[in-house]
Amino acid sequence: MHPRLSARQEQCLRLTAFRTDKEIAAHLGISEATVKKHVHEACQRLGVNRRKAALALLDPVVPETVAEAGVDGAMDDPKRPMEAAAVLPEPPATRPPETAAGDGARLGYRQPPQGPFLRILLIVGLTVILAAFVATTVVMLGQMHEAVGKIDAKVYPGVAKKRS
Amino acid sequence: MPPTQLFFLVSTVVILPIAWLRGGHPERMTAAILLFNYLAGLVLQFGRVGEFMFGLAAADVILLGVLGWLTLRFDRWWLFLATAAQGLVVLAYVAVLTSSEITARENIVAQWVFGLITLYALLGGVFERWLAGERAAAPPLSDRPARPRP
Repeated sequence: MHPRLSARQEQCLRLTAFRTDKEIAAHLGISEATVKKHVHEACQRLGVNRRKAALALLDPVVPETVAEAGVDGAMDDPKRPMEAAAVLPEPPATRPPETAAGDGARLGYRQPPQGPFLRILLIVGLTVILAAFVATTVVMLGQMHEAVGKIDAKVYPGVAKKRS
Repeated sequence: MPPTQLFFLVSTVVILPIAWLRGGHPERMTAAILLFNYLAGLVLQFGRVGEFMFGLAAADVILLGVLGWLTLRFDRWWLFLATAAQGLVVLAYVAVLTSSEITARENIVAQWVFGLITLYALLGGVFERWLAGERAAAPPLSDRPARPRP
């Protein structure tokens, strides 16, 4: 069991990987609101604000482990209690929880390049792109301003003379 | 107050507390440094030789150095954009020094534009970390502790 979570919280959280809140509530014989409360509390205790991130902090559940623990069978049989299916054996953690949530690698996040030279190169490249973008915008706005001035001079010659 | 200045002010007032309360350590540090930079700017803006504001320039060069250090120190994409924008702020000062056509007013406008990029990069960073499910560095605002005390 996770040291920060109660058994029920961990059970609900683990089941969210396979089932909806409604289905979990039906199987556990509790209300959907209670399931939501347990999951929310579990997220808070783990210091994250998303279920996926909270699940990522728990041990990774590989399909073989799930099959051995009988999750599929338990889901198929509504009369069978879910406790056995939800509490799965914990494999050894490969990295500390802080980094597991922090780098977001499980959520498709790609970290910046590690070398300082590459990073400086990236900053310089971004600076050039930003400068080019701003310079283009300024030139374009200047041209638009000139064009509008010319149109004004044609359409309202009196106003243009007064301005000049 | 012109609308651009008002927009910058509102953005600052909104984004810095969000970064402080919801961001991780790099976001918090940047929010604190930016706030310090703005407050120092109130005093340093009077240091001026012709069109060149040397007080603000010094503060912005220091800010660029700090942002650069944070970029090398932490794994955050938004820091690259913020550092690049701050680099352009410093380049604007260099442009004032080298070209007599650029006035202090244009320099300040450049500071606002690039400062906004830095601010919104910070906001984007906080949002991205929130999406990744990272814990905020600040303690939660609610009375109830987020996790049981040992």
